[in-house]
Amino acid sequence: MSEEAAVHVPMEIEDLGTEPITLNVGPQHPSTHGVFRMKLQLQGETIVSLEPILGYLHRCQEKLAEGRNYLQSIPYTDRLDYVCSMTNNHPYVMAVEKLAGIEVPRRAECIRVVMDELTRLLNHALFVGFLLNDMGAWLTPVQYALREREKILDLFEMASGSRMMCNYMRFGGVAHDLPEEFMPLLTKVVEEFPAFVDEYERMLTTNEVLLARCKNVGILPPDRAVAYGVTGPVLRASTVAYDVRKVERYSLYGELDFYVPVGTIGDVYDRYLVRVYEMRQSVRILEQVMKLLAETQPGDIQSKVPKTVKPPAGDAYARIESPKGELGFYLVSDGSEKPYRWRVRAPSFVNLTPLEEMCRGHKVADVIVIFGSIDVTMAEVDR
Amino acid sequence: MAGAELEGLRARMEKALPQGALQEVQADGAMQIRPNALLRAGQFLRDQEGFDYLSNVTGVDWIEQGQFEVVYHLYAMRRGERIVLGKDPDGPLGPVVLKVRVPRGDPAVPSVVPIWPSALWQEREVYDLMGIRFDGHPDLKRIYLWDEFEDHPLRKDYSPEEVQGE
Amino acid sequence: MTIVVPRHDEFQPFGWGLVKGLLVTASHLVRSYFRRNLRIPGKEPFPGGRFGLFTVKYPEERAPLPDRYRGLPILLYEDSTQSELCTACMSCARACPVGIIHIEQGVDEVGKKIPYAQGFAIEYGTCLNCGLCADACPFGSIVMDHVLETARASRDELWMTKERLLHPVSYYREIAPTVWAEIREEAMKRLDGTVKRRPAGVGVVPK
Repeated sequence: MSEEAAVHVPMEIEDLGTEPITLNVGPQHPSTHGVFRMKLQLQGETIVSLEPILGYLHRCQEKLAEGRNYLQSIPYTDRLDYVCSMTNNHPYVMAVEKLAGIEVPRRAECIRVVMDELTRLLNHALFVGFLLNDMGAWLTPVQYALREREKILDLFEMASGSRMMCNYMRFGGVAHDLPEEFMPLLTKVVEEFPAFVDEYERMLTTNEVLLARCKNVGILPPDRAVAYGVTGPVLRASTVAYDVRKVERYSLYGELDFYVPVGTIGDVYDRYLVRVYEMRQSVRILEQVMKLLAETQPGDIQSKVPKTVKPPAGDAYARIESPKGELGFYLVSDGSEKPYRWRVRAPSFVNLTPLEEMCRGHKVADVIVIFGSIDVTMAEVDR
Repeated sequence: MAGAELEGLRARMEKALPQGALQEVQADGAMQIRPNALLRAGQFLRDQEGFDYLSNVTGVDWIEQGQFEVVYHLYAMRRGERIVLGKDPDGPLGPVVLKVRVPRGDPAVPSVVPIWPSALWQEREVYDLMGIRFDGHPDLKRIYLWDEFEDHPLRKDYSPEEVQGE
Repeated sequence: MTIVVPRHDEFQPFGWGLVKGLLVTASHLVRSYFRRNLRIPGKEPFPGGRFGLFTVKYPEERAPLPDRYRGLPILLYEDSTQSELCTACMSCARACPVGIIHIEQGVDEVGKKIPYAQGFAIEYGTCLNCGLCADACPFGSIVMDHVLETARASRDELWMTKERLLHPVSYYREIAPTVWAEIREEAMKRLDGTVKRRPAGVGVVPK
């Protein structure tokens, strides 16, 4: 919204009668991470304005949840951000636990943190792979990321029954206890992941093509980031060190020791680096939680909760640091078994708001890279 | 946010806002504000109190009472940043919950986009799905449903049997 | 508490950044011939064990599925007496988020309700594979099968009636032993009571 933009967009090229054209980056596009439409006004190759059009994946989950009881909505939360389904369950069960005053046993908290951090590893590996895919490194980094993801998806399948739509967390704990094969494979993942991140960085971080496309592209100044309500790695790359895990200290995060990576400029390169460093910090958290998990007794994974939860009338807002930003659930209950209002505060939705400001003045090819760097899942934006 | 911090904030707000603007403070700390005092309250909270991060804008349809309610959740991001950097936050971190009620017949709420631009798309979503108008919003049009759609689906009296469009 | 991420953003001479990346991929080109491929430690990876580059000849060879894997729901009947475990208590129908389980309770000659499902149908086409029905069942009767190929030739074939849903307990014990071990005791105890309350011959699956 600043007229004194850093880049001067020429409205006319001398001796050539040019006029701006409208380009539609349509809903079906391989690089838009879902169905997302943008109307670009271009002067030559430079962007004058960008109008995003959403709603192609709108299923009105908020209305669907009003017709189902609280337990039946948990599979619907899986399908919000389908890449990170474990972290989608977490704030929802936290909000219901806040409303109904349910306590969570320690082993269940440990398992929840393990699943959250594994999801963070999953998401960031996939993000880096697909950012490189959008830039033209056709699928080589994606395959490296997917190879590591397979081990984590095997862990999810072992614990919850499904690789993607996990439906694992319940009110007062988690659904099932961890099987015996879980801890050996988790140990293997934690041992091998740092080497994978180092190799990934060796392959990508100083790559000249990546630098040429990412350096100083899509800069978001910190005060604009705070004003737009941006959270997650995009905010931390813009030098504002706000992490819900450290501020809210929900679940076990008050006892864990980890760093928060922060960028210097706020361009695409910083967002890529912040996520790579967050992967390393997640491995550090996993090592600590595995020790805490070994101290708990197997079996105590869910506190006594009635079959149909009927929270007393009131409202609650619970938020966590999902891999994409701050994911929050606002629930209003009227005392019955169905929620009165079920609202998702989706991080991708709010993070996408400054897209136009970030893209103005850049070339068309940069739009895809900037959009990929915000790390959006359209299912969360449209709900 | 509750207890002493909330009491202090409530006292400061009552002094800063016109008489009767702060209608009610609920048991869990949520503050109900008159719609015409919303912008003054928002300005005060952002500039004087440091609540610079609007996390969530929600619309709730209280059909029995004939009212719409808009709920705002505010946090202090720069003070939260001090915690991450290892320093003392020196002030409340939030959440500050503001609630605004308007009659169901003609729901209009002033838009907080000039104060917190994070409400830009969230208010459009509330307008699209609930039908609450936000006066002063720079670009208030439907965001999820197509422009010719006529009803507002999240209202409690919306019946999905009549399917619109193709 | 925070780390500032180091930016290595100067172009290095001779394109060294690109060359480093190519060396990484070249090393994998050689290493992949000597890699040991393990899937789940403790469980046999693929029949015969695998080393280096290989192709899993699906569908003759399949990767193992964990016990908890959620495919599509099936009903169980006990092997020795051939009695169905389902009592038509409607717990699964109430628990299903999409409402695709349709149950009709059986009645005996005088019209009293008996613990037997006269009609039981599941729409496989709409199933979310969430497993809430299996979690809700108090009799251990509806469980999640390990199916992967779920496509059928027409929509009508996806409407599964009871005969197509029934499987023996021995089948489920073979595919998911740890899950069956958790629910076996309670299920067998309740089965005795169920069989007593049914008229003779009702709820028995023909061989």
